[in-house]
Amino acid sequence: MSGRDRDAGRPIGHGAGPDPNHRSHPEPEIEQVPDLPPLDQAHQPAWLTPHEQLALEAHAAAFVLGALAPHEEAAFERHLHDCAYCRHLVGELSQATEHLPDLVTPVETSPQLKERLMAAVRQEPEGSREQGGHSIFHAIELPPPADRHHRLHHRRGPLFHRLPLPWRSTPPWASAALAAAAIVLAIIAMATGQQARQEALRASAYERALELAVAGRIIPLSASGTTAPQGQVALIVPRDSATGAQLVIIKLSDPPPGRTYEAWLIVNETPNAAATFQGTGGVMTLPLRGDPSRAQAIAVTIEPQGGSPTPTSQPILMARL
Amino acid sequence: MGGDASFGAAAGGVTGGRGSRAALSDEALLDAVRSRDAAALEQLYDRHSQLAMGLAMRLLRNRQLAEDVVQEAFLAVWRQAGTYRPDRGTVRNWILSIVHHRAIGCLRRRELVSPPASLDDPQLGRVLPDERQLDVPDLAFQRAEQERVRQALLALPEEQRQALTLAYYEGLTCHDIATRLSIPVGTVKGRMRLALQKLRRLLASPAVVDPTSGKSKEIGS
Repeated sequence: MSGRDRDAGRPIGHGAGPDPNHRSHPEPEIEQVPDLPPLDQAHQPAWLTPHEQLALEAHAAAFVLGALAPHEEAAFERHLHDCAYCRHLVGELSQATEHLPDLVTPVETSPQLKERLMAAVRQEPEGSREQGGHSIFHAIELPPPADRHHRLHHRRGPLFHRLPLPWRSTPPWASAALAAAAIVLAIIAMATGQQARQEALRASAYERALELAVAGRIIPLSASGTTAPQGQVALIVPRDSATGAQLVIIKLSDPPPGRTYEAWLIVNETPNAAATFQGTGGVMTLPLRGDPSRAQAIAVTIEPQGGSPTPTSQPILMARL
Repeated sequence: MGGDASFGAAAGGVTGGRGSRAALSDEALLDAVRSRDAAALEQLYDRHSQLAMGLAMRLLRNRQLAEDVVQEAFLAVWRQAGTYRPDRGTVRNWILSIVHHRAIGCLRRRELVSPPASLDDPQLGRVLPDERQLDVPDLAFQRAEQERVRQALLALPEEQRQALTLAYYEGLTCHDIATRLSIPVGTVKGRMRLALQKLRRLLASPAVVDPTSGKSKEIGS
């Protein structure tokens, strides 16, 4: 963001930002665009300024044309997984490129190419297929197997050697999931000291949390109100619909005596009880009741022991979905 | 690997050999691919591999690399047919987007740089080499559609068209283009944004009209 004025400390983001269909369009003929808002902060619920919209639209245009540098492209692809606003932008701009191949002269392929392709198809193991209904760009993101292994190999730290990652059938969301796993690491790094972190690394609960992060999208809950507990809580939404969403609770201070934490999925402004839990000195995962894909937000309140059918206090943690 | 039975179930009861598949839309074929019908993938390959190869060749200027990219792209279609979203564009566009993206990736890895694009480039907009295999109406559609796209590109301001063509047809990054044109990267991105927005509006009009049926027709579907 060098050389760019911006409101100090204001979270930049658009994960829950303006409706793309009703956003205020910036001046359409502005050619020189400002720097891009930081994508790593883009999931905070905040509205974009017109200048930020302009920068984001221009960045999305470069992405659609394949004109971003590899590291920029990888960062934007990860961002697209979690940002409906940018997926909408990319979808809109992609319509313009639909007919560009028509100006290319078709070239006959060799008969051997078709034979190689069909032979490869017939040798594909069942598990190598992606069945999810993800973004069209997921299919685009998958690099060739050799290159994928190369890239992941160099991104793995020692921790990742312990993960049962299916290299030969790594699904296309794996790079984003690995980034999510890195967020778990960062959260744990923040929540614990170096020594405690080493202990956490050995804990099976941590292994479980990391596996979940690799297999899903992680959404950290932020403090909401003035009485935030110590520690971290995150929602992990799996890519695989066969497994449900989980909460990951990291070094969370206990609620007041006789009370419990209760998580709520907010669906159409109605809180639905999703889980109750206590604090933990380590890492804990627990399944969530309900479907986060239908919810607009997740919140945590402090409730009487055993939980409540409806919230009786204000949220202390929250994340928009 | 899925035969006609699974294909029939996936494609709404349409069964049979290549003849019946040839009459199916790309979307129906992709449905069948989801059900692991290899013959449906083969049909999609037959329909789109030449344009896919042309696009890959345009970017890579190397037949072997281009064939590798096309093979990888169609394997991705086989593996990830379930990720296709019809609300985001046609099957043809999805396949060609995969090809384009992979060719760009290959270009970046190999650091192959090709000469700058121009609409006067004989490789762009040239009459199809295999036109003798096409029916006259099909050829007319393709030529008319090519002309429509060509005119839309020519309607863009020169600097916006330049940014778009250098990126899409030559695989240059924003930074490459900025260096080549001696302008800021932000300006390159801004021109790309304007170019795509205008092109989208210009091409939003209905596709070429079939003179025999009077209905619009999607080329390649």
